[in-house]
Amino acid sequence: MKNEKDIFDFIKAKKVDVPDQAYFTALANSITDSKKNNIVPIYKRPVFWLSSAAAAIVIVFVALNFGETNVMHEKPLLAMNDLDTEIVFDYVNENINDFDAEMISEFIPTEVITSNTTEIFEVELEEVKTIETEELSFEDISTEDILNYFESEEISLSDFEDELFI
Amino acid sequence: MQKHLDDKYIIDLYNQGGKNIDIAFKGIVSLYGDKLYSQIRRITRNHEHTNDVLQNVLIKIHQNLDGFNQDSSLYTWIYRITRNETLNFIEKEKRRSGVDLDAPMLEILAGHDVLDDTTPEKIQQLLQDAIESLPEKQALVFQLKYFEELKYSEISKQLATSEGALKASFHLAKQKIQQFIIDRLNH
Repeated sequence: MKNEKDIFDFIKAKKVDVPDQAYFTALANSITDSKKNNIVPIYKRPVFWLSSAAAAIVIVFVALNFGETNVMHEKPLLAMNDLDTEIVFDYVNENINDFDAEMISEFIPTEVITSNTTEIFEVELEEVKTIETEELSFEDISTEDILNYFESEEISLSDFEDELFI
Repeated sequence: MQKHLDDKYIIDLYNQGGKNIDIAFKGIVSLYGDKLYSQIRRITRNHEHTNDVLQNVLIKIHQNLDGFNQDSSLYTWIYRITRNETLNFIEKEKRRSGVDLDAPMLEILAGHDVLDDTTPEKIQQLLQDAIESLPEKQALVFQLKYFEELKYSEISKQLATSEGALKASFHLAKQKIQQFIIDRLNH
């Protein structure tokens, strides 16, 4: 059978033309010489770029956070300076309980303290007086008012089961 | 450089370090350069490409010689690097065209049915494909015996393998290649 013939009997490989030894010597020398002279510039080293990127990220992060904090601290001072004195007194009057009177008096310049200021405190005093003179009595309070009070305070009558309340 | 260099001498020289590293490397090039060139040129079929691939191979050898752990012969290790570099190069070059290639490095003799209907170019490509399909050691034995026409005794020294094993390996390689080519041509 023809197909049983060894194909290698019919294929003849040609020799490759190999350069002479000088070629290989020159090639080897070029490789060893390039290794000796191979000084990598710093900007070509990956570690340089990685470090630079990390430093840039840190700087941006710090700058953003620092910038925000400063803006937040400065704005209230500027806003306060732009406010009308009357507006400030109205705010203080509405939230007087949140302020310490002594602290307020320390920060208000003497010339600013006018009759307006004294009126505010006088009104407060009047209100306090009114509260003190009123006498409270349960006889003056209707049952309906009491029940409404319990409901608003979420007090259940069952909480007083053990007490005589009727 | 002495021509009776062997693997042990080169490795010992390399391990001494310093300027002996370069001497060892140049010893490798002196000993195996021509075989590597032939191996690459049969595949690339172009001197410029062969030069590029060979340079890459030698650089890799120089960089990685400290990683050679002597579980194979030095030439087997180098052959593996060369084979991989050449195949990688061919893959990249496939996209390019217009490169002057060598004339086929095979001649077909008349008388075989299957081969009579084909060209040396085709046979050369099929032969290369068949060799690539072989296990690495078999491909290396075939390369050294068929293309380099070395004696079994010489191959035995280079590959640190017995002559009997080499003969068996070569015989098997030829059978596989023949079957590969005939199957492709008859398909």
